[in-house]
Amino acid sequence: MSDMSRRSFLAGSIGFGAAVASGSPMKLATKLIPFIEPPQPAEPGEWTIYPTTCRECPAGCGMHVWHRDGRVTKAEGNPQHPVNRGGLCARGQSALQGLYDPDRLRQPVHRPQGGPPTSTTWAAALDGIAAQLATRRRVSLLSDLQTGTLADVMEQFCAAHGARRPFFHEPFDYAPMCAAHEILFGLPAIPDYRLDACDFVLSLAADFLESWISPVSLAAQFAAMHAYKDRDVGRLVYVGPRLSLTAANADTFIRVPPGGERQLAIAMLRRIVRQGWVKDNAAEFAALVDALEPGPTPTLNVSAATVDSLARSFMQAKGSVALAGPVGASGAAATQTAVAAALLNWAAGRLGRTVDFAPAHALGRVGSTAGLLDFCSSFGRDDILFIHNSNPVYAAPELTERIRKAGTIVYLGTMGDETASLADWVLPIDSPLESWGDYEPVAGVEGLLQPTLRRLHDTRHAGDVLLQVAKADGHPMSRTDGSTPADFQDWLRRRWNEKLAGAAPGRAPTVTWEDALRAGGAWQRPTAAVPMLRPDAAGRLAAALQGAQPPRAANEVQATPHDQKYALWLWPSVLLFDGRVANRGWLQEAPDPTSTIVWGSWVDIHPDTARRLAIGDSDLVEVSGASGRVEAPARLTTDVVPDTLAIAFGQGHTALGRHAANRGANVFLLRSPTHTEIGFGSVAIRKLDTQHPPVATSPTEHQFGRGITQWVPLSGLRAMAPGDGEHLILPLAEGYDPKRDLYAPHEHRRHRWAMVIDLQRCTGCGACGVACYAENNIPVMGAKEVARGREMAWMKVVPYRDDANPERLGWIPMLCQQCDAAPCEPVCPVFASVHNDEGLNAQVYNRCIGTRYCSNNCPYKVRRFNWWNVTWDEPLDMQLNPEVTARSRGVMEKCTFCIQRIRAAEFRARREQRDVRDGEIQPACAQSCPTRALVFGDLLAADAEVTVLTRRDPRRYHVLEELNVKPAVTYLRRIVTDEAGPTSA
Amino acid sequence: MSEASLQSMPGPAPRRRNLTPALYALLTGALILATAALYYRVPPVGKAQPIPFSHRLHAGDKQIACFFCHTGAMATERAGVPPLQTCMQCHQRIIVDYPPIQDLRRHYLQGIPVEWERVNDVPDFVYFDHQVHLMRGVDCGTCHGDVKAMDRIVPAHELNMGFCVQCHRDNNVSHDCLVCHR
Repeated sequence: MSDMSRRSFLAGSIGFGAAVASGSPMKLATKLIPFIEPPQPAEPGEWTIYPTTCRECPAGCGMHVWHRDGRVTKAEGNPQHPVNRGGLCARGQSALQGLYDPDRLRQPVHRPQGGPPTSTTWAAALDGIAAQLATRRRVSLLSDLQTGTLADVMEQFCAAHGARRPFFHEPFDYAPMCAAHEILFGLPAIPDYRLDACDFVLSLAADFLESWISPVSLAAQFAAMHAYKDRDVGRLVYVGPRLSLTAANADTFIRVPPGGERQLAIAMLRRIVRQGWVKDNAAEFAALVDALEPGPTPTLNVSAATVDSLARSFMQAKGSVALAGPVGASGAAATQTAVAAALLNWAAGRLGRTVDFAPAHALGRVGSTAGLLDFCSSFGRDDILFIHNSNPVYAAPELTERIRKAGTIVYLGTMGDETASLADWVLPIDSPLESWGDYEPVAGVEGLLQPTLRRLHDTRHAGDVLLQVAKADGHPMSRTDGSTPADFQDWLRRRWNEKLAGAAPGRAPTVTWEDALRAGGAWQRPTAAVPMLRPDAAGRLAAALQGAQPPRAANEVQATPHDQKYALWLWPSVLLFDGRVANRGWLQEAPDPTSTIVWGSWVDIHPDTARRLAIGDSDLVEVSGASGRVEAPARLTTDVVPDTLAIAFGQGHTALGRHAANRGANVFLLRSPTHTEIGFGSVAIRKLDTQHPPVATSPTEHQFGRGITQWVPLSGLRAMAPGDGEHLILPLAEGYDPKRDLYAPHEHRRHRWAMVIDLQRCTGCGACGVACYAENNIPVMGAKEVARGREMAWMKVVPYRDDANPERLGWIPMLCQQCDAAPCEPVCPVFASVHNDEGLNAQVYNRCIGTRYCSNNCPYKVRRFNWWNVTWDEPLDMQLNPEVTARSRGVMEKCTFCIQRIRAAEFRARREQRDVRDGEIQPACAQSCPTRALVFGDLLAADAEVTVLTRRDPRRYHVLEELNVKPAVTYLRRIVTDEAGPTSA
Repeated sequence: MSEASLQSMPGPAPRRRNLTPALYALLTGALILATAALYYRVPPVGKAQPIPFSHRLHAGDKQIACFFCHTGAMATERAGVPPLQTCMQCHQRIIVDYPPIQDLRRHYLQGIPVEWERVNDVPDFVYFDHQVHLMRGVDCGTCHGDVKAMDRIVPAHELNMGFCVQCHRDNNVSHDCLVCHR
């Protein structure tokens, strides 16, 4: 210190001070970088919408991807698409986080036999693989489900190399259903189910609102059937062991142990035979029912009267359908269930009406679990195995050793998952949002994929990689017509040119390529096909079931209490599905609909069973099954039947990325592909000596008499005319009463924005919540912060139970109610929380000083405080919506009714010199909703839909109306079907 | 002790008056004055741009309309910076030998964008829409000043909240916070 004089100290500190003062801590965009030549559709700062097809699951919904200034920020449903009609589930919306995943593969990786992985170039990788192809004799290709051009390319690739046909693998196959339809009708297909043409739906543990076949499409159809119209609602009966999202939406939930759904369907069929309700082919039908379950009617915990009434309702309904589940089941019992459902549909004459085989689903092309076992059975040193976008090491862990035997494994994918970590070559491919392509989810619906932005990394299209590999090793590929397209895009164009020309032979195509691109594809519904029952179906059925051992109930096998077996019930959640999306923060942080648990796995155990095992809530338990064991905390709940352990698929990755790896339990380890037991087989459970409470966003589902989610009996509702019902205090000048109100009413200049949420339509899927994250730059906080109640969701879909009947679960989308007498406003010392001209409770971030008084005073608890300055892991920041401010630490935030969308619509209207049209503004939540449960509009417009519903709908109510805060969100009560439907009258 | 004796006593040596602090003070004052004079009297010079582009010449002398280059202003939120293609519409033929135009041509042909320095900006939590203001008949000059007289663009106003609100107040436009902040 002796060297430091006063003078040099001063000079130093002045210099440092100047550096601090002048160096900006913020990253400011100080450059304006213009185009050289403007690309045609793009205008700087303007949105361009690219229609494409969602490839997050085999449902193949149409997507509109919002693009601005070279990046995409939002994925929405394509309103014209025949599959999803504008809605999009949480997983589909998270496609953006898949694209911008910070853990995406960025360059080819070579892992020489047993050596460490080394990054390499595409040229070296392609040459290396070609050299391998020259020495290895057998080529195999395993892929996720593909149709259209990429499937063509794969077929040709295999043909050019003299290989077996490509194997399309999905963790959830529908082989039992295909087998059932093959046996009965000679059609190994998955038909198109038309729930919207039904007024009675029987779900045999088929969770069609979550993950079964095409959840968005089926949810929309379900809402059309189940919504209140013509003074009635359609009925859903769910039979299964666990209160799933679908079960909670059912009017009747019949609890049966795993496998009970099969028994109930058989009992219904027997009842139908006995009653002689089937007139045509009655003898054949009776023989089939006998073949389905030889011997006496299985014991069932359902009364004969219930079975009779179900059978009667099913047969007599104007439209009815039976759906066979559960998702992911295999084995003889699953086939029996599927046969039973198909027979029910046949018996009631539903084929060609509510069950249409002409638009068959692409999932019928997926190979079965047994088929995969066979496919992987004989790998050896001579094999070169190409795996595309498929993760068998995670989803079929029992096959890992067999796959490892292949001499060379080439992995083509976007993420470094478990299978990639096994591969010799890891080739990064384009995300579906960067790719050209096509996908035909349902026969007649040809969806197109187009790039929505430029490639982020050094990736290539999977089709191009296969073409280039084939070229490099001297097996150039050609199309079936002999032409040799230059690349995948060329192949796609040629295929589509033929298709579009073929649509109108001899004439110029009515649909051009541009039309198809703009629409997101081309579709035409084929005429309905009515399959005939095979004459030898009974014999085939008997033969098919004879090979398999008679299914036993899983918990029949009991030895000593220590290794007592419990029935396993696995279910894919609406958020994580089969686990391929587990590295996406939005989906990890979105609460599970029924348990509100985030960021992890848990085991549902009935309290009676738990008591016997001395397991308490949140105790860590070990569940061991066919090919492994998993650990997860227990959740004691009566939502699951006794002696059954229910766990969700999707977690428990050992790779994939920062959010997915080493989190939760991979229950594919418990699923045995060869079990002969009912459902998913049986498992043993052991209590471990630690507690590990799962993180849930709702501490309780009980309402304590507050009436937040309300139900109305159908009998009472039927007697009500439009306009009857509660008198609501509206958030308008007319809602002001000097005797009651402290503050004067607000004046609204032109609009008073409001929302109506139909709880009868809301299925609780949570798509709206994720849409809100995407639209409003809401940060993902992680398990630790959520456990402290610091999640940032502006909109939560909260499950509540009916106080009168705790078995009844209903969801309520809870967002800022934009109150007219908002309790948040008067307590803000700095006027950061103010009422705006159009009725919104504005939160002005740049004024906010973070006292949090507003949040304390908010009765709906919808305000969120920024405890941290959040950083988005690059390149996730590219997803941020430039129309919405990213908030910094110390400010409060909340729902704005998507003010940016309101402003955009108002400006557009002003430019076109007109008023804003009703329905023109759709907040992100309302836009994404598959069931159209949310309606947004202007309460000052007399004929707006919100006005009509808020003033006239007999089911209307305000949450916490007694507080006189005059919320602008009106809810329509859920309906309790206390009366039997007209169908069984 | 008499007065005289007191005066005759040897006192402390008279200190030489140190003028240095006064001099520094004077100098500092002069410096501040000079800076202020420069700041307030001398017309400010805008940021240097990578290619010396004169708005005075293009918009003033040549009378090219603002919207010829800033095409977004009438239709979108942002006025936008013209693509180099727009420059080349004229400068394919006009003063092609002038070195900065040669520079421009090089950028254009090699496909390297020119990185212009941003002059007018508002904070990230402020959302300004050009189109809506122009539709209401607000002249570009209201915010951007007399661009036709500027070689290098100089901010005519500090685009702070006071400036925006004053104009909204004068024209009886909404004071709703959510008009600009979201």
